[in-house]
Amino acid sequence: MNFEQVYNSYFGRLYSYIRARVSVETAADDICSEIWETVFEKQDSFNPDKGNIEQWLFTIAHNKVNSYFRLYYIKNIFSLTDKEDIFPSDETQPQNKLVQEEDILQLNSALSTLDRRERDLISLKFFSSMNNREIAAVSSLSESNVGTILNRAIQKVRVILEGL
Amino acid sequence: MKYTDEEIKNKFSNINFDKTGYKKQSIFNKVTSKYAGRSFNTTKRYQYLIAVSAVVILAVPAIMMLSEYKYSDVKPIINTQKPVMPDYSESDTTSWEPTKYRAHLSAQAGVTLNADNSDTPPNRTEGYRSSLCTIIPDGESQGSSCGGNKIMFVNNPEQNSDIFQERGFNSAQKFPLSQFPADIDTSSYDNFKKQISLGEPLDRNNLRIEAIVNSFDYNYPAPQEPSTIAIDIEYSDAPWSKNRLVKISIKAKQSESEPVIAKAAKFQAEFNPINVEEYRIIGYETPLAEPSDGWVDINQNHAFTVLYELKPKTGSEMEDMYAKKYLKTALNTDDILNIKISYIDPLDKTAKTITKTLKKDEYKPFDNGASDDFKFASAAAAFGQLVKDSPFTGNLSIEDIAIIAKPAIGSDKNKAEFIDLLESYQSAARLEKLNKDLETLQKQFGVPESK
Repeated sequence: MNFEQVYNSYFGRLYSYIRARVSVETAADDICSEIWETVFEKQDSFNPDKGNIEQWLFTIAHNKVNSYFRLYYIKNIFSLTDKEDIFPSDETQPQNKLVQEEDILQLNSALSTLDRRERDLISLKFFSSMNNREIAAVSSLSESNVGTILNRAIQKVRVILEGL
Repeated sequence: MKYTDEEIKNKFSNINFDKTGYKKQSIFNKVTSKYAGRSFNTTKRYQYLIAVSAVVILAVPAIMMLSEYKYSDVKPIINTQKPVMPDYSESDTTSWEPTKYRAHLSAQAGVTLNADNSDTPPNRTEGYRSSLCTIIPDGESQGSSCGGNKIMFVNNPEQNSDIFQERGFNSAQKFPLSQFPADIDTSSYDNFKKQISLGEPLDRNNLRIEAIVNSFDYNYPAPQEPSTIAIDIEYSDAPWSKNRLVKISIKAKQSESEPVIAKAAKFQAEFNPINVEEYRIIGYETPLAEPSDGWVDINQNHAFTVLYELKPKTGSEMEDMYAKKYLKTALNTDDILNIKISYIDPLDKTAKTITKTLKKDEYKPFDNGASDDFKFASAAAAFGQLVKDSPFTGNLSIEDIAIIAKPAIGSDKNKAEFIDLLESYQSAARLEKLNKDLETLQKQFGVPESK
C-alpha cells in the first residue's frame, strides 16, 4: 500500500470520526497523529485479503479512541474535557465558520445525549461510509446488534435535532 | 423540522473539520518526519534484528574474555586499590578549603549561599536550572492525549523541596503556548512577613513570587457586558533586565444571581514567535502535577495578576516566515501574544472562550507611560526574586525596589507597608548573614557555641 495515497484519501473521514467522538480539538489531533503513526508502522502487515483498507483503518482508529477514553475515565477528568474547546481555532473565513460552527454545535449537542457505544457507532456511520456488516467487524459487535443500536441512536439524534 | 435518517447522515457527514487543510498537512509532516529514514520493510527489519543479535552474541563473550584477561593475568601491574577519598566527617572540616566548607555548611543548614560569594554554590548551577522543566509543545506530544500544552517537570519537586526551582525562559517558537493557573495562594507571603516581624528564620524557599504580586489590590477594569471575565494587558519594560514585562490582569464580574461565573476555566497565553524570542512566567515554581490542575471554577469578583518576562525579537523577513509556520491561531505579524480563557458557562452549560490580543504598539516605556499598578507589581516581583536569590534578579537592590515601588503606592495602606517591609527585610537579611558568618567561624576555630 502507498501510505501517502491512503493518507490523502482517508484523512478527512478519519479525522471527522475522531472529532465526532472527542470534542477536545487538541486531544483529537493527538489521537489522529497516533493513529497515522500506527498505520505507518503497520503498513506492511496490512493484508487486503482479510478485509478492506477502510475497515482496517477505522479499526485502528476505534481502538485508539477507546484507549484514550479508558485513560481519561481513570483520571476522572473526562467530564470536564468533554465539553471544552469545541470551536476549531484555525478557520479563516468567518462566513463559513459560522455555518460550520452551527453544524458542529448541533452535532456535539446531539451526540452528547448518546452513551459511548452509541456515539461510537453513530460516528462510524456518519464518517466511515461503511455498511452495518463492516461496522460490526470494526466494533466487534454482531451485525443485527449494530443495526439495533444505530436505529435507537439515530432516533435520539432526531429528537434533539428537531427540538433545536 | 423533520429529518429522515439519510438527511441526518448527510447533514453531519458533510461537516469538514479541517477546511483549511492545515491539520492534514501538519499531521502528515509530523508522522512522516518521525519515521524519516526508518521506512524499511518487514524483511529488512528481520535482517536488522539478526545483525544486531549476532553482534551481541559475538561481542559479549569477547568482552568477557578480555576482561578476565585483564583481571587475572595483568593484575600485578594495575593498581587495584581504590583512590583514597577525603574524610568528610565533622571532625576533619578544618582542613577543607573555605569554598567547600561553606558549601558543606549551607547544605547542612538547608539554605542557599548569598549571591555575594564569589564561588558558585554547589546546589545552584546553570546546568541544573536549565534541566528543571521540559515543556512539551503541542505538536510534539506523544503517548498521552490530554491535549493543549503540557508541562512536564523532570525533577520531582518533593525530592528537591529545599532547592528553589524557578521556571526559566522558553523559546516562543518551540513552545508558543503557556498555561497559567488562576488560583493563587497568598499565605506564603503572609508567613514571610510574620517571620520578618518576629525575627524568625526566613523561609525563602516556600515564599512564592506570585503570592507577593497578588497580595496587593490593583485597579482591575470590570468586564463589559455581556462578557463575564475581563482581561487587561499592559506591556512595558522589566525593571530588573533589558527585557520586556507583560502584566496580565484577569477579573471576573460581580454578580449576585450567579456566584459561580465560570466552570472549569483554563487560562492560556500564546506567544507570537515573530515578535517574541523567549518568555518566562514569573513565579509559579511548583509545577502543575496533572493537566487537570489547570482547570478551576471562577467565582464572582475573582481577580489575579500574572507577569511574563519576554525577550522581544526583531527577525528578518525570512525568519518571520519560518516562525509564522508555528502559529497555531490567526495571530497577526504585529501581535505579541494572545490570551485565551476557555470555560463552561454555568447558565447554558456551553463551552465559551474569551480572548484578548496584545499588539506591538501597545508598548509603553517604564518611566514614561507604565501605570502605577504595573510599577508596583514589578517591584513586588523583583522583591520576590531578590529574596529567593533568583538568577533573573539582575543588579536590582532593595533600595532600587523601594525607589520603584514608592511613587506607585497611592493611598493604599497595604502597599505603604510593603516599603516598611523592604527595610525590615534588609536588616533581617543582614542579621542572618552575620549569624551565619559567626557560626562558620565558631565551627572553623572550634569555639564552643554560646547559648
